[in-house]
Amino acid sequence: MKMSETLKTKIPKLIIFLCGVLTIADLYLNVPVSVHNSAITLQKIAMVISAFSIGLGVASILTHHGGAIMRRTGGWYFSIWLLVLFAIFAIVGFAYGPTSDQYMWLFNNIFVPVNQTMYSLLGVFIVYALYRTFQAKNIEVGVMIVVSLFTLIGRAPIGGYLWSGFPAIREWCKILNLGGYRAFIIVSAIGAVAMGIRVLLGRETSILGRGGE
Amino acid sequence: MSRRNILDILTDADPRWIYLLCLTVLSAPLIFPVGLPLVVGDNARGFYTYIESLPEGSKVAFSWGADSMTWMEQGLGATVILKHLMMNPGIKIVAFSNMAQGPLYWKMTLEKVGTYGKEYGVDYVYLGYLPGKEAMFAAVAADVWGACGGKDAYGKSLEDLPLMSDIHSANDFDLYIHLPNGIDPVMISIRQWQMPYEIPFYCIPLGAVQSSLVSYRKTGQISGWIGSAREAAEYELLMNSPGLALSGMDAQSFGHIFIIVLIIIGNVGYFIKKSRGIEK
Amino acid sequence: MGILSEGQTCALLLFALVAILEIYFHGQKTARHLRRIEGVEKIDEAIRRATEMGRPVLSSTGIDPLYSTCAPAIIANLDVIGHLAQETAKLGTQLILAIGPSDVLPLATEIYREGCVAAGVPEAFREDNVRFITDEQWPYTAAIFGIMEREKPAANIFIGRYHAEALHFGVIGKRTGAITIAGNTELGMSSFFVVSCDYTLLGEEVYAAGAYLSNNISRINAISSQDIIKWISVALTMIGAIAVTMGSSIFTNILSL
Repeated sequence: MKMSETLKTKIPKLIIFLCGVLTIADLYLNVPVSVHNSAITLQKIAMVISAFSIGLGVASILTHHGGAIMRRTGGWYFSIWLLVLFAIFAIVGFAYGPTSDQYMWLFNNIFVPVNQTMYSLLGVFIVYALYRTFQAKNIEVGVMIVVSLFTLIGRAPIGGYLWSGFPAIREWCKILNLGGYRAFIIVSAIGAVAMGIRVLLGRETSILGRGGE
Repeated sequence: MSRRNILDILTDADPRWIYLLCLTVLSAPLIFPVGLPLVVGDNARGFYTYIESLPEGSKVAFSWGADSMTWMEQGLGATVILKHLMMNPGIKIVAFSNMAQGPLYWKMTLEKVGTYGKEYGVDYVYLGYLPGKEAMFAAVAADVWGACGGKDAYGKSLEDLPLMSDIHSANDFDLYIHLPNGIDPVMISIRQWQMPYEIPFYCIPLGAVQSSLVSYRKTGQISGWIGSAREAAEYELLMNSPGLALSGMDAQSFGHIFIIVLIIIGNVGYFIKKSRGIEK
Repeated sequence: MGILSEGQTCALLLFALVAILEIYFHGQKTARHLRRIEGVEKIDEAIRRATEMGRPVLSSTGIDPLYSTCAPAIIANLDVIGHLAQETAKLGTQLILAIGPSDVLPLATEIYREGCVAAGVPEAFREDNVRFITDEQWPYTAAIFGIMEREKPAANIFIGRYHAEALHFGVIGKRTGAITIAGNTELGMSSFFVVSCDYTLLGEEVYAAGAYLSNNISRINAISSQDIIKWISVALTMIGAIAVTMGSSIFTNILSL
C-alpha cells in the first residue's frame, strides 16, 4: 500500500519538482552549459513522450467509432466514413510518405477545403452573434457597441475613404483596449505562475491524473 | 403559434436568413466588383518601407509557419511579402517552417510569385520543416546549421550552398519575418529571436490576434506587421501588384457595413420593444 | 553578469514572491473570502439542469498540448473536469469529455475515473465517454459540433484555452438549447465566448475555478495570495507611469534588470 502510494504520487511529484527546478534555473540563472543542455534535452523528451500518446488517441478513436458502428448508435454511418478516411490517409501516408504527391493530393482535395469551410463559418457566426448580442441593455454594452461600430467602420476599407477620422478613432480605441488588455495579461500571467508553482510543490495533482490534493 | 411581428423580426430573425443575407452581401462584390477606394495604413507602409530600405546584401530570416487552417487569410500577406523580397535583387532569404504543411505552401507560393532571377543556394535557401516548437526556434536562432542537421529541405548539404557560409545564427540576419499560425508562435519568436538577439522582427499575424500584439508593438518588441487581408491588400497597392487580397476588399467593406446595419437594426428593435414595455 | 541571467532579475523576484506567498498561505487554517464568480457558481446548476432534462454534460480541453505554454490553463481545466466527474457521477448524468491533444487524454481519463470513485459511484465511469478528437483546430471543432448536434448535451462547460473555435461552440450550443459556461485564458478570443455563451470566465477566473469548486482551504488561500501580487503590480504600474510621465526612466531601468 505504502509502496503504491510512493509510486503513484511521491515519486512523480519529485520528478516534476526536479524537472521544474532545472528548467527554471536554466531560464533565470547563468547555468553551466551542461545544465542548459539538460534543460533542452528535457523539453525534447517531453515532446517525444507526447508523440507516443498519439497512439493512445488512435486507439480511442478506433474503440469509440468501432463501438458506435457495432451498436448502431445515432450517426453510426458517419463513424464508418471516418474510419474509411482514416484508413485511406494512413495507408497512403505509410505507403508513399506524407510529402508524396499522392498524399498531398488527398490533403489538398479533402483536408484543406473542409478545414477552410470550418474557418469560413467564423465570419458568418460572428455576424449572427453580434446581431443577437449587441443590444444596449445597459451602459457598458452601449459603450461597447459604440466602440465596436467605430472599429468596424474604421477597419473597413471604405471607412478611411469616407472620413479619415474613422481610422483615427479606431486607433485611439486600441489604446483604450491596450490598458485593459495589459491588465489581463498581467493577472493571467500571475495566475499561470502560481499554478506552475503549485504543480512544482506537488499541490496540483491533476497533472498526475488525480482529482484532488 | 403566434405570428411574428416586425419587432420580432428585427430583434430575433431566423439565423438562416442572416446567413443567406451575409452570403449575398459578401458574394455580390466578388462577382460584380465595385472598385471601392482603399487607403494605405501605417502598418503596411511601415513594413514596405523597411524592406525597401534594406541595403544590398541584407539577409532575411523567414519563419514560414504556413498552415492550412489560416492560409486563407495569412497567405495573402505571406505571398505579397515573399514577392517583395524576391523582387529585390539585393536581399538574401533563408526560410524554414515550424509547421508540417509549411513546405507545401512554400513550394506553392514560390511557384506563384516567381524567383525574379534569384538563384537557389546563392540568393535564397529553404531549410524545410523543422519540428520542435519553442525548442526549435531557440535552436535555429543559436545554431542554424545544427538545428537543421546541416542539410536543407531537399537534402543538400549546407556546405554546398554559398549563402549559408555566412549564416550561423540569428546574429547573422538583418531582419526576421515570421508567418505565425496563432499568437503563441509570435511570443516564441519574441522570446527566442527578438529579445536575445535584438533583431528587427516583423510578422504576418491573423487579423484576429493583432489586438493581442499591440502591447508588443508599443514596446518595440515587434517592429511591425501586416495582419489580415486588408493590410495585405494595402501592401499589394503599394507594390502596384493587385492580387487576391485587393480583389476581396469590396466584399470586406460591404461585409462590415452589413454588420453595422444589423447591429443598428437589432438595437432599434430592442429599444422600441423596451419603450412599449415588451422587453425589460 | 553574475549568477542571474540578464533581464531576468525582476522576473525571478516575482517568481520567488509568488512561491513564498503560496507556501505561507498554504499553512493557513481558515479559508479567505473569494468573491462570487457567477460562471463557476452556475456549473452545478447546469449539471442539475442536464440531469433534469436527461441529457449529457459536455466538456473539453481545447487543442493545445500539455508541453506548451498553455499548460496552466489545461491544468485548471482538468481541475474543473474533476469536479464535473464527481457531480455528474453523483447525479447519474452522463459526462462527455472531448479531448483534443493526445497527451491530455490519459490525464482526463484518470481524473474522470477518480471523480467517479470519489463520488462513490465507480460504475458511472465509462471509458467511451472520454473521446480523443484531434489537436487540429477545425477538425476538433467539427467533431465537437457533431457531438453537440447528435447527443444534444444540456450543458457545455468549456473552461481552459480556446482559439477561434470558441465562437463556434457558443453559437452551436445556443442552437441546441444548451447552457454554455466558458472561460478562456486566450484573451483575444475571450470576446468570442462573451458574445455567444451564457456565462463567461475571464482571465484569472479560469485558474481560480478549480480552487473555487474544490472548497479546499489551501487552494482558496493560494488564489488570495495572487491578489497581493496584483496589488503590488498595480502600485508598480502607477508609480512607473508617474515616473515616466515626469521624464524619469529609473523605474524602467530597475524593472529591466
